[in-house]
Amino acid sequence: MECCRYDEFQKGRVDEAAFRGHLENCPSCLRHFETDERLMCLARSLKEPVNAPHLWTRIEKAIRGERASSESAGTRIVRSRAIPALRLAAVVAAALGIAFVAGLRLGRRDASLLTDPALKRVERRERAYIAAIEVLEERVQPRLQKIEIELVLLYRDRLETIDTQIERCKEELLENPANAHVRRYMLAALQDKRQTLKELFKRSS
Amino acid sequence: MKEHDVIRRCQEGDMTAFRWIYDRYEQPLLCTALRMLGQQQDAEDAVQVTFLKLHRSIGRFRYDSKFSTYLFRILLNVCFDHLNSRKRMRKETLDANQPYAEPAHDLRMALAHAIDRLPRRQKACFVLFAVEELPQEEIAEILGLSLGGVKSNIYHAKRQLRTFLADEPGKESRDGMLSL
Repeated sequence: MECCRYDEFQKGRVDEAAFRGHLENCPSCLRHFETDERLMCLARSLKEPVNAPHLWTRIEKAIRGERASSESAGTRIVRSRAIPALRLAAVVAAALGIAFVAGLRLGRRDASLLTDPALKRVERRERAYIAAIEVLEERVQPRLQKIEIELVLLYRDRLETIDTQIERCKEELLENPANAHVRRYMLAALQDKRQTLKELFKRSS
Repeated sequence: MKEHDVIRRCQEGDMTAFRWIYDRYEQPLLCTALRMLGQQQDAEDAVQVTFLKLHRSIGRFRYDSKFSTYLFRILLNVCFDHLNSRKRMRKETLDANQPYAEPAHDLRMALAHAIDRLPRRQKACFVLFAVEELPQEEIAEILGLSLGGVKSNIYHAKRQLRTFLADEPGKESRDGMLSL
């Protein structure tokens, strides 16, 4: 008949000293114990050197790649130096994006809010505003080298986000030029861009 | 050099210190990953991901546990993820497309195959205990189990391994070596 003491010992329910004493009188447990000892010995022999000569090179390359991409995205500086104004700007940009998407949905419901003469007037002023911002952008570009590179990267990210929003507004307005909501969102994005460029201009002077 | 100092240097972004950690733990991690995943390429990938995750998270390491425990915990999680995705892929593939498993003629190879067939938690407990010879308390911490849970998993793993080895083709030639 099989003795269950060995199983109890394996599950930690029997004290080792007591079990050693039991082993001397129980051939069934002794057989299980010896089998497991051989199994464990065999398992230890599986611990052999694994040859992977190029592994470190792969790891190092991956780490350096990850570092480079996080630095270029500017996330590292945000985390370590925590520039509150830029964080706030990121939040504002994100909020503007959300508001824009919501506006597009709302805008579809009451699209033709602008009459023809009003539309022409708005478009004329928009063009002038955009042209003025482009002039500002041209004046800021050569000054960027005077600003810390990490800050430039952060501002560039922000400007790209705003430009994307402006582009989406323009696309939407091609289909529905009289949509006053989209015009307002585009105006907000343009104002944000002007403000960002103004900050860059200030920092570089 | 003390491990504590090396970790501090790693936290400051020193790649030489990171290399030191790699040299110190490469073999135990590779060996464990190989036993967990069964294939060297998968094991190397798992160790690579482990070091990438370590690099991302080492700044948050606060010595709440031993560093080796922390590192093995990352590795085991990576291995579990890999086993899960492998399981999903198997479900999506027809059995006929599965590679034919060579019968093991060597006792060590047979044991390696048998370990590969264990449920993942039993496998992790057995590999860390029997192959890496880690204390059961540390295994419990690595896997987030109670000490009793670890003992129970090792016990069931041993029982399963005895059964698997007894069923393996070529068992007759091994009978004298491992009486099961």
